Amino acid sequence: MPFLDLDFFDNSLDLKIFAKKFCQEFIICKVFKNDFELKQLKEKAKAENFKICHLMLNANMQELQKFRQKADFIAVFGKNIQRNKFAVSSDKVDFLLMPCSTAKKPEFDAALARLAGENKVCIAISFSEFLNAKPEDLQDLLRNYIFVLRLCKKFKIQVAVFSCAKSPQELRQVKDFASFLGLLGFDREKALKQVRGLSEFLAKKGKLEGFEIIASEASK
Amino acid sequence: MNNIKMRVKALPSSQRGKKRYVLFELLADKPLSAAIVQKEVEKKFAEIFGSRGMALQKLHFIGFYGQKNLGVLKCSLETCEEVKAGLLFVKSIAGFPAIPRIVSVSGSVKKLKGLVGK
Repeated sequence: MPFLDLDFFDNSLDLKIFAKKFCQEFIICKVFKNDFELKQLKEKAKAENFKICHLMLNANMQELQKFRQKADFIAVFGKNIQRNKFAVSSDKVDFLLMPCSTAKKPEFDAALARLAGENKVCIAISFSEFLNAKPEDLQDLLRNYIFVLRLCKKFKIQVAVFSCAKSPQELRQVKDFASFLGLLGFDREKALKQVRGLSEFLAKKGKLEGFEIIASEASK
Repeated sequence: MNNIKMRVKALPSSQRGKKRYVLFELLADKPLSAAIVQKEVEKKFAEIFGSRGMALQKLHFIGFYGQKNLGVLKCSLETCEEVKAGLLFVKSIAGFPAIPRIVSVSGSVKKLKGLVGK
């Protein structure tokens, strides 16, 4: 099973180089305004075997229904109780991206975690938010996500750390994110299990059909 | 004067604590200098873990091979994962963008030198 990374830029040339270098596959995530935009990017990405994810910025059921069949994955941007509740209440949503902000009171709690576990919604963490955070914000982010991951462990929720890069400079090897999960309170074995288990988790949801693994430099 | 000890007796290896060597690569457009990489890495670690964290990590910059942009860090076994995570936070070296990648972790520097040579 390949390692999967989610990012916000669609330069297929750069992505192809890094896919080979880091031995991983990419999911291109965007906020699509209409079907045409999605179809265009899907055709472009099909040649390179990249998957497409639609990012929802509003708790809108109609939008979810519209893009569910067309995009490979659906992600809901969190940092808001309403959006978090919407994301974890439906099994049609694949990722809840960044459930918490730097706020003193985290926007994610045990009730939402229980729902996420029941509906098999993966909690996704954007590494670029940590990377670009100011030092005073970084400690708040770390505090909130240590709490979120404690809930994830309790309710056995799949956790994924993605680069969420807006430029190639923000890309990181997904395999290395196991150490980052360690920093957030996971022990080594569990962190590795989470990172390696994402593909399997998505395959079980029927989301990775026909996904080809590009021969990596490391395996040569 | 002859009775004064000139050298402190080394701590037995069993009490020194286990260490790990982390081989990392910085993907950058040009060869980087060891001194600047060391300064940048230590600055980042100080920002994230603080002085106490760095002291517990027993962080030691072993070397940096500029031609391949490969570096080796020594740390304690218990904090190896922390050190690997900390390296991911390196964004740029002397203003030039650099993408860190953990290549390997080993208990002996000799093994890593073999990997660098490949």
